[in-house]
Amino acid sequence: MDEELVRRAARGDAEAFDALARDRIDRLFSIAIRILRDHHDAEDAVQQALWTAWSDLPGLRDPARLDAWLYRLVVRASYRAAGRSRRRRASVVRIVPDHDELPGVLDADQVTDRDALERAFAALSTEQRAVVVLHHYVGLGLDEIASIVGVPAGTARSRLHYALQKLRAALEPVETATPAVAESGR
Amino acid sequence: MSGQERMDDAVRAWIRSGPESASAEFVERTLQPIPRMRQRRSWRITLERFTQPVVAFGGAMALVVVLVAGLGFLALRPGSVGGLPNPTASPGPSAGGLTSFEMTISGAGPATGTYRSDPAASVNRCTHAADGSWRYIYVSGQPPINLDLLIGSGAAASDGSSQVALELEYDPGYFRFDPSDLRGGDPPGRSTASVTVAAGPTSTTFTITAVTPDRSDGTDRDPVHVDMTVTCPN
Repeated sequence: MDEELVRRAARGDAEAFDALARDRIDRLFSIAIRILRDHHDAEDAVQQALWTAWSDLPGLRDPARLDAWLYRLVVRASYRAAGRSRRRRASVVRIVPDHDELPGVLDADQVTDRDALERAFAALSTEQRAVVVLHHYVGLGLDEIASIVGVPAGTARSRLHYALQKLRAALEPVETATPAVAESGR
Repeated sequence: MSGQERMDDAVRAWIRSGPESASAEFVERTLQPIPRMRQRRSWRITLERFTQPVVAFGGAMALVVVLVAGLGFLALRPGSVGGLPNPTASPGPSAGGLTSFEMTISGAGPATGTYRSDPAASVNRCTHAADGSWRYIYVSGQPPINLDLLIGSGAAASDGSSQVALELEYDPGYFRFDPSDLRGGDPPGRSTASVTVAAGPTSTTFTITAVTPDRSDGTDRDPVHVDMTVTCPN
């Protein structure tokens, strides 16, 4: 059914595209906000991705690949948004969600973990973040991710490996990290 | 469960937490303009039509000839290569519809020159919000040019001429200005900008001048001078 909608949208049927986009916009926004960690940047990325999707849909050869293609567009738009954001703001990365938006009550360790993960994630490159989100949030395999982000599978694998290494390091016990903190404070 | 598995679970849980949906206002703001946006006709679609059995080889060869001739024409046409609004020696009238821009950048930075909108751009869109503000977004080319202009709701008032914010990314150039803090993040005194608003029967024209630091390498550098005209349909 979606494939027929894609064909209609590719022939200029805006209603068909509207139906396809409404089904997917939450997913695309969820991906963008996890990569960018900023609400406005994520909205900009999704908006540009969907407007580009409408514009370029006649060039999509396989309607069954719509979702992978949209993921690619939103990841690329996120790269551009991250570039603009880096140049706009020196180093501030807004934390999403704020602690008071999180469901349930978090104990002190969980809050510490979340803060540590936020900081570690902010230190990753946008390309590494995209691979982490596509793998651990969207649930895609590395071959599919490599195709979406336009790199060899080995590159996608190494990006995921190094990103997870840094995120795990952020969760290691505080005493392990003390020497490094002391070193940087000199 | 090992320590590493526990940490991986924590990472996965953290990645999965957070917003799962876009706001309804954002969804409408994104999808409503689409019926008025143009689609690019794909050469693949054209090729598929010409390579149907009925038309077969002759039609495909004719298409190849037309494509080669068309690409040759585009390559020779001044001021347009690969869909980018290239710098030109002298600005001319926009060839597009009502929505268009012309911009001259002088002073510092890698993006100096005169630019005008390409009618075939992926996104060339004005929106007029209920509060009276305007937003113009232009996206085109490979590598991409991204232009995002905001005109504040009070820009037409006598004391509102600084209500304009622009962000321009044109690899490798980048600058932004926002003296009235429409988007936030531009410290007072960093940029100067003014806009005049001329509302006509079918379109509104914004004339913008600004001086702002070039920020192509991520830090504020020597000033960029911007002269820009944007026309939006009413």
